[in-house]
Amino acid sequence: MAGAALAAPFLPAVALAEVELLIEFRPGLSPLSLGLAEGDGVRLRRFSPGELSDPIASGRIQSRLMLAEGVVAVGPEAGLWAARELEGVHIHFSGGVSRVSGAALKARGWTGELAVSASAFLDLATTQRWKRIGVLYTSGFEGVLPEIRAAGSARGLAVEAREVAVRQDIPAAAQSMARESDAIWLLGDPVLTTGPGFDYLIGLSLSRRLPLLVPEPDLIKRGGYAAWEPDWEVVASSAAALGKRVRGGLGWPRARVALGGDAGRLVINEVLRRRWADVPTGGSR
Amino acid sequence: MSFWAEPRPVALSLCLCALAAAAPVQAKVSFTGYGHFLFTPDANLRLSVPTSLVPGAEAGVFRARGFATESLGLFAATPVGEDADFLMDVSYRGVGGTVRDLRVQYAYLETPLPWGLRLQAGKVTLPLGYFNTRRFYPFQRVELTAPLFQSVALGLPIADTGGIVSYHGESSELDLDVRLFGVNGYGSVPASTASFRNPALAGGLEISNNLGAGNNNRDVAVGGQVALSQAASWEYGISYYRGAWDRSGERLFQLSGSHLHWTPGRFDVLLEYLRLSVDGDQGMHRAFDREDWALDGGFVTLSAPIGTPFGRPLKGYLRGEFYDGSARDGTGGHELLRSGAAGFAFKESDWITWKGEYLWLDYRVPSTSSTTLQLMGYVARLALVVTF
Repeated sequence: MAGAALAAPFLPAVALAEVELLIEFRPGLSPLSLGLAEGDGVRLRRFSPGELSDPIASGRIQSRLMLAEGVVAVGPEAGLWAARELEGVHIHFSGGVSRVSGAALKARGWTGELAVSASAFLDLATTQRWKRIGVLYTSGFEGVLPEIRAAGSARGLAVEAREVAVRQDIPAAAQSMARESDAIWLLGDPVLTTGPGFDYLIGLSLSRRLPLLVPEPDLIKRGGYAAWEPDWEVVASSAAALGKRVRGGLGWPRARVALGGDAGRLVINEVLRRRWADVPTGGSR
Repeated sequence: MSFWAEPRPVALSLCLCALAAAAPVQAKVSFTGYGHFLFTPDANLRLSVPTSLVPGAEAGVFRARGFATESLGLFAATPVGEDADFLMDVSYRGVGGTVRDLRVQYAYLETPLPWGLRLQAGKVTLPLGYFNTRRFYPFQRVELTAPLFQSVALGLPIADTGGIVSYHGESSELDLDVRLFGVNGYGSVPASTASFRNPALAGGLEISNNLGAGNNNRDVAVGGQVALSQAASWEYGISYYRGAWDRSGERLFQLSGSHLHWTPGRFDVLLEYLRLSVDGDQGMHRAFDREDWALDGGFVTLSAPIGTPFGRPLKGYLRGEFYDGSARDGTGGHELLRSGAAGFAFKESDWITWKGEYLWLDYRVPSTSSTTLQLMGYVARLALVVTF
């Protein structure tokens, strides 16, 4: 460390801690389009598709972001990378929080937004005449349950929730929920949405005609019934606004996980919708 | 031999420690890296050697099978200012059958300049073509091997000590990148001051060793690249390098090229053209019967997704390569390289990629007589690329 002490006076100062907005490059995305100005203390850091898996680019971004006061990772790829690579810095996940372990969210004090519209899912349930919605969730995501229950109650829907601690809990929890529910909402981390756990849920869903509401549109291709595709421009603007609020001294959101806004569209698995159109869906039948 | 041409682990360790220590107290040095490992199930190469070119060399068929560590690299990055970074790569490479090489591929400060310009100063990767700066590392490309002429003769990555000034401009439709560089430049082959290349097997045809630790003359090599691109759909660029290679600073080496990178739909096409022009090279006089010679040619690579086994992306690729060199006045024989490759890359995870390739090649360098040094055959390879 003596070297550092000797060298430091001769080198230019590193940037003061800022909030970094990590987001995949999109045409038209700029500090201006997000309402960011110099002096806001919020820096936009764009990356190209696949760039974060390049160790050269990844290392360079990492060395910058670890100096930040906090990082707002917009989208699943940014979120996954930030959770894996960054240490000692607060991370807020704007969308893509379902890619992050709920235990890590709790342990590290990170915050996030699911970028899922509860209204859209529950309106779908009303349209489909589902009466009971089962929510399978993992630890760290329980904070949004009261909001979902309240929204369901306002629509006359019963919302039952069951926690899954580890992958081995999934069969029993899902079987039980399948008997009691017309659809299952997956609200959680990779324990529920990847690997054998998700494969089991898909198998159950298809065999029982039990619609699965999944956290990301990509999971529709694998057998999910419905997902929310957020308007990423709106999500990015909200993330920029959050960065400015943090720099303005208002701090990070208190809630560990929030649901997200209603800007976006509901994506339905059209194959399943057609196949299940003439027969009532729901695991309890 | 250059400072970095042989393993100096102590020097490198000190260098990395100094890098870590020299950064401001609050700075973070992040280390990332990669490993590239090869298995060759079968290599079958026929070598014909005229004794006039390589006295004592033996002709015959060479068969090979075995494992190799192709390269291992460690990248360091640290912020050293408001918008300035210091970046470095130390790589171990297995080159050919015997040479083991530990070198600094690049080590430079990147910092902003007035008028939206940026400066890279130190040992920098030259902006020549597309492959050299953006496909050189195995994790950056789909292909298992780099194009043969560039990797063997030019010695990728083409990096040298000096500086690059770059400008990036954006409009709603197009991006413009302009990069200008000044570096020590290529010198003569290490064993001779009068030869730029030698038609000999043991590294004589490679000019990568001509890039030494210092400048061998008072001439600073200059060049640059202008590239126009549209989002991620295409990029077209032209590149140029000019520098005297001999001690007196009078004999020129010029390298010019153009590249097109195009991504129609799910395909990825990279086409690169290259022309080398050398004055007063006594080494290649033996091959071309002239001291002024030129070589041009290029390669094209086509890759595309071909499936998702186990839910993971699998890509396939094809590559063709052709170069033709001769005396500039068109007399004498021709140096010819023809090569084709086909293969796949399976990305098991964000960190692990498996690759396979079948490569066919035919390389000939003439002598002034009717005989020719010729290397012809095929190599089948499997590779593992790990990033961390």
